[in-house]
Amino acid sequence: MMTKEPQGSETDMTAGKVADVLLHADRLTLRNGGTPLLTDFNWQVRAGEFWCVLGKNGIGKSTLLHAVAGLLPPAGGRICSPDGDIAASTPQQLARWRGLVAQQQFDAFSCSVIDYVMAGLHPYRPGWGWPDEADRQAALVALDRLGMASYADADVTQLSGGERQRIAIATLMLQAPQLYLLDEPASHQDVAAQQMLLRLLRVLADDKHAVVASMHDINLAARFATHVILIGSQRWWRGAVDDVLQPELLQAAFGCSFNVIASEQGKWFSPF
Amino acid sequence: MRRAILLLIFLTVLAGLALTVAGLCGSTGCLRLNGDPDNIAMLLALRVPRALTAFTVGALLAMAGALMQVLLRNPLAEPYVLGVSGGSAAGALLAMLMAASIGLPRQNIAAVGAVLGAGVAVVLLFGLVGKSLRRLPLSPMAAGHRLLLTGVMLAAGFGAVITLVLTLAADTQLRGMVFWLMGDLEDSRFLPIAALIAFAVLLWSVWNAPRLNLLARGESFAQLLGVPVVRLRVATLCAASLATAAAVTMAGTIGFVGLVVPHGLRLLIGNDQRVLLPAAALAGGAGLTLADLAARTVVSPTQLPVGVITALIGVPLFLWLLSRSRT
Repeated sequence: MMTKEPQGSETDMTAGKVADVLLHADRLTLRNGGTPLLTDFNWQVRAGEFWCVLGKNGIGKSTLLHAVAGLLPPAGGRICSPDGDIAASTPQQLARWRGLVAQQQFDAFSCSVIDYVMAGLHPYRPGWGWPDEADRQAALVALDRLGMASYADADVTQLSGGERQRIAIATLMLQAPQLYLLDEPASHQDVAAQQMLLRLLRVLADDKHAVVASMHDINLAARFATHVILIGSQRWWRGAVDDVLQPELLQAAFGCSFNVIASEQGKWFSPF
Repeated sequence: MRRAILLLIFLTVLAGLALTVAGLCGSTGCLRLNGDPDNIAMLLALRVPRALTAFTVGALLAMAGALMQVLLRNPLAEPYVLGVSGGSAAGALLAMLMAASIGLPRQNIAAVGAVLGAGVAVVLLFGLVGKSLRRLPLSPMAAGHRLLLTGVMLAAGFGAVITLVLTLAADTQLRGMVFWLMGDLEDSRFLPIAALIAFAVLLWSVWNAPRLNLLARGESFAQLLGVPVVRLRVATLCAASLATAAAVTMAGTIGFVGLVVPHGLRLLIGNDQRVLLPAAALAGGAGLTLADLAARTVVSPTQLPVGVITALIGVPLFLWLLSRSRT
């Protein structure tokens, strides 16, 4: 489970277990222009798992999330949802299977926060109807879980970067896909909001859902994730959080040394 | 939703009033019901088609502007920004120039040239940006930049062609050409076709309004929520280009309607395309009808080009809107 397995031996499983698999990447190869990022990457995400994707800048974390979300066709291999290869799925099928919060948000037009969040219902209400009171309540509940309920009538273009990112996450929660993908969800958040957010993501990964988030904070990953993908140049490690978050593997991936400090909250990784 | 219905009813009434006033009034004053019936019939036959032409062109331009603003995710985009109007104008002027040099009748030739020019512009645009239209931009910031810059360059090229034709044209032709460029609502021969196009574009855009709402918030965002973005963007560009080409063929390049009407409406009623697009059609139509009425009556019997009126109203209005917006 730990290191590179190009032969893809995990595909033979019992039928009962396959039903739990929300994402299956089969010999996935990703490139950025000509630069290879990931080669022959096999990966399965099951319901209840919270994966953190760690690695240096430009190593392919966002590319992996975009490819899984179906925004970027992979250079090789297949990505499968429970419905089959995502290349053959309709946008609406995909929208019910996965949602992604991008790293950056940019608004060209003014829009109230609550209207923005209710866009998350589009996969279920593709028609012309106006949102009803139940939709508004659902949006308010999602905003409340992110501590943004009092901003419901604010204008999205007026928000700070961290607030804007939480609005995007509230939209994702209303979309309620099976697979939650988040590209650096903690990056614009203050320390308290980071704890709140990661706790929320941990709860979202229940018996029907899974979460995959790219991160820069190893200690947040160590505290909240169940599994980790660590991407280094031309190699990767994936597996349970304690198996992958080892100082020597982190050093190989990031190129700097790590002290491990034991604390009441678990292990702390201090780079030097 | 009730607010939206009330607003659309209000705009429909306004449009009806504008059409009525423009149909009844003109450079010789307003019609009275107790006047000479023959005179009334003659003036109505002149004024009603012209008012309807103005309404249709205004509606086409305002819808094209609103669609371009969504497509380019830029609230300051307008129907002429991608060079379709430049292509039309260059085609029309070239056709006029050639018709004069080989002695063809001038009547329909400008319109044929305008349609061909718009077609060339759209084909060029799709040829140059087709690849980037088929790919989703991953960064939300970079969206539409390539399309916008390509369109601006095409427009600049067509601008050079227009200048060249104006330089080469004989003095006798020059006045007609300049008036064509400034915009002229006299010619209502194409009214049925243009009205049909306006209606089709309105139906298409209202039907797709929920998806356009998501597209306005970002290409990837819309795709992630289940909108087939690549197809929708191509269709939006086609609809906006068709509307622009129809308007320019019928009336020349009348400025500011396509920029000010959707932008102003957005500041007043928000950015829900389900309301904004029909509202833009109604307000653009009513606005241009009234501007044309002003152009006909303010210094009558001299008729001003309606493009002058829309620019004189549009420029200060736009600068005012810009100064009170927050960014």
